[in-house]
Amino acid sequence: MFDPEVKFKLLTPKGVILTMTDSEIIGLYSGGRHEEAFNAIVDAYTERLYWHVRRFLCCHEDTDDLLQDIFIKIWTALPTFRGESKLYTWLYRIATNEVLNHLRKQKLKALISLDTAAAILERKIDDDPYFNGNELQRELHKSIQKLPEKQRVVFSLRYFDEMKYEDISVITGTSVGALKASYHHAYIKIKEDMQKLL
Amino acid sequence: MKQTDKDILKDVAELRRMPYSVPEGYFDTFRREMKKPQTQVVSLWSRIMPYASVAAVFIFLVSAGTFILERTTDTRDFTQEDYILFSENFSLNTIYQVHEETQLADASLADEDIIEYLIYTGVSAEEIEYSK
Repeated sequence: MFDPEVKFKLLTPKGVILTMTDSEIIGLYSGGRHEEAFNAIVDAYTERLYWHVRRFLCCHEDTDDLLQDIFIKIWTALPTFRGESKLYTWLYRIATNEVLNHLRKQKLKALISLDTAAAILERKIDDDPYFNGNELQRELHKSIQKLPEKQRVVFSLRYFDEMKYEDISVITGTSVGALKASYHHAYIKIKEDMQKLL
Repeated sequence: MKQTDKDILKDVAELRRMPYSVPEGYFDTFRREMKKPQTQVVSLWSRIMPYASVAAVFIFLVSAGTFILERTTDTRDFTQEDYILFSENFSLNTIYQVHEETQLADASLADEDIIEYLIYTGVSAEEIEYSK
């Protein structure tokens, strides 16, 4: 489970560095060292946010483009961060909103091309040269693409990131009760899809 | 029946693992390109040092100039008598004296000297006689 107050080792071309905890990053920002704080966010969150986005968009190129937009948004929104929420939930909220906006645009494009957004995403999984999982994993990710927006978000954050419902609630702006219900529905649907394969 | 009881999402651990990969060195490149150039924290002294240097050089030049001028300038007060005494030694006065002496010298020239000079310059005796 992800803990934003635990440092992790980062292998860089300059050697191994320790990432900063959220409190250290906030401390840097409050001390007026804005660029350093942002760079520490880039160090600590690039991979986490990448995989969070990739689970929704499937394709590496789309994820790369959107991740750049997300970090630009983080940089511009950083002065508005008041520390009322945890830094990591604030970052995930920005990323999740960007992902959902992107998926809505994709949905509109899919309407024009007389295809479903889920079908487009499933095709992306099949065509992705960077997919190196097994068939079960392929089917799991295809099933996730069929879920409604909110269920997809809660399933992804709960199942893969093992995030607490309270934190998901801050990220999505939905009550814990509603999230639990959404997760349950999503879980059942995916489980049924997967059972068919066995 | 046995099949439906099985929870594949719980039982198969590998399902929680990410089946995707990224191009080699992607995260390093991404981080490098995304990071902001850090503005260096400049101390107050570093910021004012160029102006302080210019001010120090200016003060030095003014002080040195003042010192040299004070050392080389005669600051005594001249009285009118000093001016008169000074003017007697002035070169212009000497020029007037020379001029006066020359006039006196011209006045004392004898006719013989003039004739000698005219002969020396090639004037004929007839012409000298005529001019008399």
